[in-house]
Amino acid sequence: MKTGCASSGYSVFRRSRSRIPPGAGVIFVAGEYLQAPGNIYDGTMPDRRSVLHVDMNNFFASVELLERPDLADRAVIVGGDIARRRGVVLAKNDIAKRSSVQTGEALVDALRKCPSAVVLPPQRERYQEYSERAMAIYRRYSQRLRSMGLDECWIGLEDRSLKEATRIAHEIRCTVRAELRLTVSVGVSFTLTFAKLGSDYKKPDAVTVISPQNYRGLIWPLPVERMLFVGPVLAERLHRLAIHTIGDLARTDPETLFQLFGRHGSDLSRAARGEDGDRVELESEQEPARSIGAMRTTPVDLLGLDEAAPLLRELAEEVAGRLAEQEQAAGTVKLIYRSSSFETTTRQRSLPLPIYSAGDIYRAAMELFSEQSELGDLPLRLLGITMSRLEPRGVGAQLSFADLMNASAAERAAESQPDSRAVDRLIAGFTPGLLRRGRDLLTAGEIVYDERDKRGVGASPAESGPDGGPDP
Amino acid sequence: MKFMTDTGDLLEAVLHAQKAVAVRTSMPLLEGILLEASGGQVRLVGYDMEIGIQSVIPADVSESGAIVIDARMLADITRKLPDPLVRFETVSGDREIVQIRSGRAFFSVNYRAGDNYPVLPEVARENRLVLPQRELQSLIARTVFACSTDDSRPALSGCLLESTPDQAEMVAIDGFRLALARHHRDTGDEDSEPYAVRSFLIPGKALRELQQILGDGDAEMYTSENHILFELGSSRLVSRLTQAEFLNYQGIIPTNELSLITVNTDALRSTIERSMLLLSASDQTRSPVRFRTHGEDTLEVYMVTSRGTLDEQVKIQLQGEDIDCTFNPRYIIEALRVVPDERVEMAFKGGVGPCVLRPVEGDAFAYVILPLRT
Repeated sequence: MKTGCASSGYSVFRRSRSRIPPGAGVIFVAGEYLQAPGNIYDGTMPDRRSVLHVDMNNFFASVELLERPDLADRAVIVGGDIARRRGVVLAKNDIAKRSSVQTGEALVDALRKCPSAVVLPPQRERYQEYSERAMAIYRRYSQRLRSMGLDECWIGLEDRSLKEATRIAHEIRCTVRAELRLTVSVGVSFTLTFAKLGSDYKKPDAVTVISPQNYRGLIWPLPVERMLFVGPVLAERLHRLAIHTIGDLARTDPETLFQLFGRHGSDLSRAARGEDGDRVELESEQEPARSIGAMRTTPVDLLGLDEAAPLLRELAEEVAGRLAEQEQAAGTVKLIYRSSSFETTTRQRSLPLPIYSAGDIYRAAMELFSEQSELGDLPLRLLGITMSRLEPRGVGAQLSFADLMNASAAERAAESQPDSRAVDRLIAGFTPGLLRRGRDLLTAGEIVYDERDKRGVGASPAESGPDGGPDP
Repeated sequence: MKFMTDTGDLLEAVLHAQKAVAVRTSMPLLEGILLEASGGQVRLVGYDMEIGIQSVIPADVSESGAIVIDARMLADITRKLPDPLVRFETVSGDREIVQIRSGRAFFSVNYRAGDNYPVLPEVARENRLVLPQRELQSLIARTVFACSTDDSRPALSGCLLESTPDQAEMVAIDGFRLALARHHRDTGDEDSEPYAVRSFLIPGKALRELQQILGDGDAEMYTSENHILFELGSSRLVSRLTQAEFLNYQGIIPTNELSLITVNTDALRSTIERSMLLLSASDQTRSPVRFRTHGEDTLEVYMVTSRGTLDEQVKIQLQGEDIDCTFNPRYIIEALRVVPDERVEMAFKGGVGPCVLRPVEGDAFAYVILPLRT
C-alpha cells in the first residue's frame, strides 16, 4: 500500500478468476509479442457489455465542504487531529492540491507547503452516509456494483453499448451533482481496468470513454504504475525490464510475465491489453470477502500496549461492524503493525472458537499484541486487525466446559509450537487453496486492497515490508 | 405378623418408601415395600439397590414379622382406606395372604416373605454433618436441575455438598452449565452449632428423592466409604456416594466480567417463558435464545424456531460492553425459576464466554451458563 495513508483501510481477498494463458514465446523483447499473428486484440466484444468506474472527487474534503461553504475558496485538508500535531493528510481539496499537498503526508509537512490550509478532522460516518447515497443512485442503473472503498465503485452494465453506457455515465454524473452536490468523474469502458483508468483520466466532474478504438492512444502511453495493483516495487522491477508504460506491458509476452511474476503477471498483461474478461457480479452473487480487516495510520507514533489499546479497540469495532453486516464469525485474527521505521510485521493466530463481537476481537488482538515482546519499545505508525477464516454465524452447538478447557489447552499447545508449523498444519486441514499463507497471497497476486490506498498490495510484496519473514 | 396403626402415618411412610422402590427390575421382591413389625413399631423400606428409604411408624404390634407388599398396590389401598385406623394380619395357609382391615373395608392381598429382602447398607455414625432440613431442601431445589441425567458420567450426574463452619453450599455441573447454591448458618442463633467441614458428592437421583421427603427439623448426614445416610427423624435415606472427582468448580465461575446487566427476575423469566412457547419438541436443542443489548437500558431477547419468532425488549441496566450471544433457553429459565430475589445480575464475558447469574447482593447463588458456539 502507499506509504502511510492507510486510514480506515480494509482488505478484501478475492479468488483470482483468471487462468494462465497458453503462452507461446518464452523469450521476450518488449513489443515482440504483439507482432505474432493472432495475438492482437481486435477490439470486438463478444457481447455488448460495458463497465463504468465512478470516482467521487476529493471525496472526504468535498463532503466536508458541503457543511462549510465558507471554506470553498480555501485550501482544505482532512486529516488527523491537528492538536496532536503529527496527523496525516487523509484528503484535500483542489486548492490544497495546487500547493502539492499529498494524501498520506504528515500534516506538519502539508502545512509547511500550504500554511493557509484549513485542517478538518475526519467524520467517517458522514462519508459512509454519502457513499451509501451514491451507491443508491448507481443502483438505479444496475444491480452490478462493486465498490472499492467509500468513494469508488464499478458499475457493470450488461447488454449496453459503450454509447449507451456513456449516456448513463453522464446521467450519473449529473444526478450525483444534483442530489448530493458532489462531483464525480466516470470512466466508461469495456474492461474494469480501463474504466478505472478512465475515471482517473479527467477530473473533476467528467466522463472519459476508453473504447476499443482509442485505448491504445489513451491508455498505453500512461506510466505502468497507474495500473491497479502495480505498486512501486513491482513498477521498479518492470522498469528494469524496460516496461515503463501500460503499452509496454501490453506488448510484452504474457508467458514471460507469468514466469517472472506468476499469475499476477498474466493478469496484468491481460488487463493491459483490455482482455480481462472480468465482469461486475450482481451484488447478490458477489463472493463474500475471505477476510475482513481494518487498519489505520496513527496520527502520533504509539508506544506499547497502553497507547495502542484505544486504536485496537476502534479497529475491532470497525471489523466487528463489518462482520455483523455479513452475519459472519471469524476463526483467525491477524495483527498488522508498522514501525516508525516503516517495517511492517503481521502476526496471526487461529482462535479456539470463532468470534465476532468487538470485545472478543479486541481481546484477541490485544493478546497477540502483548505477546510480541518487541512491541514493548517499538514506536508504531500503523496498526491493523484482519479477521479471516470466516464462517456464517448460524446456530452453533452448545459450548461445554470441556470445550473451554480444551480450547485453552489447545491454545497453550499451539503457543508452544513453532509458528509456521502450526500454520502448515492448519492449512493442511483445509480444502486445498482455501487457506494460504498471507505472503503466498501476496506473491500470487491476489487482490488485497485498501480502502484509502487504491493500489493493491498484491503486486508489491516488498511494500508490505519485511513481513515475508515472520508472516503469517 | 399382626399390627394396628394410624392410617395417616402409614400413608406417609408408604409414600416415602415408595420413592426408592425399583420400577423395572429382575428381582420382583424389589417392586414391593418391606413392612417389618416388631417392638411397638413398623419399619417400611423401599430399596432399588442404589437408594434406600426407610420410615418408621409407631404401631400396636401383637405379632412380629416381615412381609413385602407390591408398592403401588399398597399405596393405592392405603390412600383409599376409610378409617383412621388400619390393621394388618397375615394368615397361615398355602398361599401368602395378608388381611388389611380398616373400618368396614377388608382386603386380602398377596404378599411375599420379607426374609430375603435386601438389607440396607450399614453406615456407621461417623463423618457427621447436621443441616436444617429446610436449608438442605433449598440447596437441592436450587441446584439439582443442573445435574446431568447421563449416568455414564457420574461426576456430572451428582451434586457436591460442601460445608464449612458457617456455610454450606451445593454445586451441580452438567458440562454446559453450573448451579451453585449457598446457605449461611444463622450465627446469631445461639442454638445453631457450627457445621462440620465436609464434602460429599451425592447422586442427583438420590437428592431428587430426598428433596421430597425433607420436612422440618435437622437432617443428620453420615458417610461410610461408599454410602451416605440421611437421618430425618422417623425417615432415613441411604444412597451410594459418587466415586468420582468433582470438577474444580471454583475455576469455572468467571469473575472478571466484561459486561454486567441487572434485570428484574420476573420480567426476564416471563420473557424467556414466552420465547419457549415457540419451541416444538424437535426444536428443543436447536433453537437458542439470543440476547443483545441496545444501549445501556435495553436487552433484546430474540427467538427463532420453525414455528415463528419472538422479539421482546426487556428493561435492564448495563455496565460495560454490549452483549450479543445465544443460549439454550432452558438453561436460562431453569436458573431464573429458582432465583428468589426480585432483581438479578447477569455477568457476561464476550460472545463465547460464560454467563453468570448471581444475586445483586450477597453470594447465595451463582448460575454459570455457557452460550452456543457461533
